[in-house]
Amino acid sequence: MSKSSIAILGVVVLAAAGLVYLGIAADGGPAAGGQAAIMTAEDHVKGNREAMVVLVEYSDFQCPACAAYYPLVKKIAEDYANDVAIVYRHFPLQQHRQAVAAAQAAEAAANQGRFWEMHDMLFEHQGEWSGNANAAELFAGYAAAIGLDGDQYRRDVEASAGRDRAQEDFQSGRAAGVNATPTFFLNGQRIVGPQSYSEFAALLDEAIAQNR
Amino acid sequence: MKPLPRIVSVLSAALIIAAAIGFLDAAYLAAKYFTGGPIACSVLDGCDTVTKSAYAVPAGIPVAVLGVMFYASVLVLALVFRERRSVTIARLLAIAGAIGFLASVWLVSVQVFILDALCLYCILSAGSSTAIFILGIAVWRLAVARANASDAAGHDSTAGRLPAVGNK
Repeated sequence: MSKSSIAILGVVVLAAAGLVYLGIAADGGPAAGGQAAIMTAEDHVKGNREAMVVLVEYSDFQCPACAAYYPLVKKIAEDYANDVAIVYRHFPLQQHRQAVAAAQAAEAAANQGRFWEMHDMLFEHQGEWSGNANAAELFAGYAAAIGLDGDQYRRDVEASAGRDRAQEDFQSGRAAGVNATPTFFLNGQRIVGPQSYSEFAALLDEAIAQNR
Repeated sequence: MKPLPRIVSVLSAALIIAAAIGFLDAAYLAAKYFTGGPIACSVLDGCDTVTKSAYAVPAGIPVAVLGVMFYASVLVLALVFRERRSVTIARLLAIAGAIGFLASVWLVSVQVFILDALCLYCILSAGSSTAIFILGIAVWRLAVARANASDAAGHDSTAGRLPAVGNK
């Protein structure tokens, strides 16, 4: 190979090394979430609202990774029902075209006090509605299945309030440095890497012990 | 001896660029794969569900690693072709391009139809494979046509090899 070819090869390999380094460095460690730490009266909360330990999840109903975490978070909500307040916030990603519509369905359910029931339905049936042109009809079906009043649901799901709410949550997530879903904050501290129930539980146990 | 059409120089430069982009992209994905982290969907990268799915690790070798090897090979072939203009190298580029393109079609289908999640860097890789496929075929056709023309003209002293430009 000529010198120029070797030079081109060298530049490409060096650039790759730089990119690999950046890719690893950008993953970052735990960071403070600021506002994300604070539970508001409007938040959707599962578990004990008065608990000293607050787990805030920024999530997207159409995100496959969030659906993968769903059973894990659900089990935590059951096992730590007295010690932890679990907060769900919308973080609809742009590449998920139906994420906002799903958030609106959940908000419409929230108006009838069934946010978490709809939340569960959306994650459990993600494969059914995600990418389906009839998602709105499927959402209406879930609304009926969890016992919502159909007329009110239809009015609420089309109102702008749900969309605004999703947008507000998204903005608070951006302010807290969220750039992926799901992102969890434990008492305001971003937690990275709970890849199993036991890892998650260990973090919660630690937080509970500290706040006793 | 007629000078080699300028188009071949342009095409081989484009091949080098496409292979370099693919190589950088695959190296980044491979680094992400090995450094782990929990699965997530991100604003920039799309969904890790793609790069962490079973489809991303056929036969125990991560697709990103196969991608690094593929683009590195194409890059070296393209650099060699730029210097030697050999029909054999052009044919190898065309074959590699076809393999890369078919692999990309499969991988994009998996993302769209099975995983229902897209990964931006995977799409970028599919784009560069497609470019390599088209450029590889074009370079091969031109190289063959050139070789035949010089055969017909009786200039086959360089049988199967195109004259390089710029060697003054």
